[in-house]
Amino acid sequence: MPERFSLLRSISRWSNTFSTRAQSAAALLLLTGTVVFTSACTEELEGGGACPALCPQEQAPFEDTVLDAIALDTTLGPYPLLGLSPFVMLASRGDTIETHLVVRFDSLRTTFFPNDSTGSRPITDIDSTVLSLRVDSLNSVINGPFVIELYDVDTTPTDTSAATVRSLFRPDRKLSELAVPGALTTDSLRIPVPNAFLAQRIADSARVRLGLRIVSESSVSLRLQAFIGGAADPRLSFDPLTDTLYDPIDVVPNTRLEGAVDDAPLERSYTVYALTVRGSEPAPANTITIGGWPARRAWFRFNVPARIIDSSTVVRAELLLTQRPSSGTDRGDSITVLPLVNVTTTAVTDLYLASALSADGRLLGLGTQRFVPQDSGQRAINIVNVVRSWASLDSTISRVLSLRLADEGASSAELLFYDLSAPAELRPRLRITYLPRTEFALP
Amino acid sequence: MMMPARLHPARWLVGATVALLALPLANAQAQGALSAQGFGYPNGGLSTRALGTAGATSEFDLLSARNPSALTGLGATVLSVQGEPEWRSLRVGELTERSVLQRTPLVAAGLRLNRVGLMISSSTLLDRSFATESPGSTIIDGNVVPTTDRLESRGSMSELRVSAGWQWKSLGLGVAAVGVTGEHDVVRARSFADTLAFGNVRDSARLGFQGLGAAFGVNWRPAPDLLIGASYLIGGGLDALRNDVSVASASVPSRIGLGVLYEAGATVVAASLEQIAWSGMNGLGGEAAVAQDATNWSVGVEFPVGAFRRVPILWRAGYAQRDLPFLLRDLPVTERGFHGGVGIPLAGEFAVLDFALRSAQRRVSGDEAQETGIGFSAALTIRP
Repeated sequence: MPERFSLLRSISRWSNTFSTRAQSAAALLLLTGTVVFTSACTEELEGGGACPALCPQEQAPFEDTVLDAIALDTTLGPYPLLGLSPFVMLASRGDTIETHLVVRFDSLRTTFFPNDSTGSRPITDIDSTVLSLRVDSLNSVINGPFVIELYDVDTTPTDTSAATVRSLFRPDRKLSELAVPGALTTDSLRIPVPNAFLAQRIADSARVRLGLRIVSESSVSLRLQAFIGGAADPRLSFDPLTDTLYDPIDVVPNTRLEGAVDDAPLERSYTVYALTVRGSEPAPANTITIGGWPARRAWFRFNVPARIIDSSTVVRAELLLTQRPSSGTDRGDSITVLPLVNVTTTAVTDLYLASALSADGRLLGLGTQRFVPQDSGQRAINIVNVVRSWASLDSTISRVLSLRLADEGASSAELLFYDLSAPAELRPRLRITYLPRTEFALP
Repeated sequence: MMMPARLHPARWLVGATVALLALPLANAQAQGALSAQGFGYPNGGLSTRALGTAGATSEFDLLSARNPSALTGLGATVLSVQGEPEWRSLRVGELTERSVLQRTPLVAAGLRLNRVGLMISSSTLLDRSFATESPGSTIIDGNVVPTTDRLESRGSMSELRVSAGWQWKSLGLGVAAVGVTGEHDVVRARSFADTLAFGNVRDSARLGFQGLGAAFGVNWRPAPDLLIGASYLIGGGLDALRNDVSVASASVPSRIGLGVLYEAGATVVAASLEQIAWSGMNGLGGEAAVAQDATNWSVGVEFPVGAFRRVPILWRAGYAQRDLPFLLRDLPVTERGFHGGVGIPLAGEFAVLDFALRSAQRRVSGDEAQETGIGFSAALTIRP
């Protein structure tokens, strides 16, 4: 057929009378307007108001199931590793928990700069020596008046032996005490230290290792600041002269361990630490424990079918635990549990170490949950984000979750749950809601 | 031939063409609409010019992806691109939902080699771009949990044609190799109001399509003012692919078309009838993509009124009725529409700007749902 454009050529009688320039401008304007109009139409795709009537592709239903997906559970402890907890517990809880605190000052300042001299001068006359400790008074338990006793716990042999250090809390080693009538009105404790004791240690270029314990008729537990930003927080303060014009000298806790050359983390572990005198009662059989003193962690390794992890979208995952009542300390208080996510490969076979290296679950969006130790019954811990992450997890990283007290190292409360050896209905299980990956791209 | 002063096509037509080509290539339509069932809406492969006559002249239009024998009329190199927004309104009972869709349904380029007209074109076979979001619920652990469900698809199946047409005695003959290709990027999302307890679902998948076919065409002028054209497309295999692996197979829909055109001076009256075997696609999708064969017809007229730069302006009008390919829950969806258009010669034979406007009514028999689509099509055809 003849191209229709030829029609245009054949009909010349339709000539108009406009000028060529005006027509050119009109043509350009028309074309520009067309381009702008056609391309300026912003798409508005959103629909769905007529669904489901006009949306024949229905959403697939979710699957909801409870799995015996825990391949292994156990209780690991003690935690935290020394030197890794920002807080430390000094407690005397009657006939249950008792801890002491050790603070080391292995390097003391021996000189100072007097006001009337340009050079330094040895410290000989000391005044106003105190050991300052910051207290988290909100999270401390104080049920009555108490006394904090200060001891010289320096010893030459086996200075990392808990038994040896514990034996040094005896009358002949006692340096001083601070009586506290009841509830704390400040957020710090200033425990007097004999000036002569410190002066002698400075003169001898010796070290100072102080031990603290609580003596009380009541149940007392102090949550003390041990470290801030990796640095020890307690301070040994004194005036280098009896002259009050001088600012006090603050000594930061420090220690040296024989054989620990350039091992700062290990040395920090013994700079400020709690010493267990009496810990929690052993957990009953068929039980996993979170918390207590020394603190323990619950550890779970999961074995979830690949059809769920790899071929589905998990929308809900809850670790179902059956709680049993605890008779330990603070059993009526609510305590916070923090999930930890495994980050070690299977090359790390030491479960204690693997749990110690675990990452804070909040980094994966796992929330903390609060429990009351004396309660019982089924509890659900939301772990959906970590279960969803397993699909992309390297196969060398175990699908493991640990649970610990958020206040680990500064609280003696404990939570007890039935473990895998308990009757079937009480065992830990995993409740999962997932959407199987079905064909949805094809209508 | 008169060349307009200071308006050389090489200066600005290329720029304008590039601007038109820059229009969004993705087609879009909202599922939850009558016209968007199954694998989507069939654009028809019509040029804006043919669209102005409701497709009645499509068997004789060299730009439309219909009858390759129309290429016998190809005089010189031609390049055409068109943009086609549509304003759609869906009414179901008290509910009225509006959406705006943007398409570039046809790009074509042709040239003449001796006595053979050649054309390569890409036209949209089926649009499947939509986004629906609706409230839902699911039962989890015995409790009804509210959700927000979203299904989103972007993509289309396109028909690529390499066509040739030549004159043999009194017959115009044409043949075309047809390839069907395309992709659908589909996202299924489901979110919960309680974001602490539940994680959201967002699955995505990409489907590819490949298929083959061949088209043949003929036109015959039994009288000086009468043209008759016929075309036939044989559909070959059509595969849905995921990661280059076939997940479903069916056939490219075959099509048979017949057209008649009468020239009364400068006025053209045309009619077209076609049957498309969409059912050949059954099996490519599931229950939501059951196709029926479609019988479509249209009548139209093209006539000159006025002139621009001494070249006549062509006006067009038409009416079409057709069956949409995919059923809505076993119910057929039909479309009928009034079309109009105009072709303005911007630079004599060198550039023509075509416009078409159509008002389509889509219905499902026995259902109160009704959809109105106001489509505007603009195409620039240049002959550099």
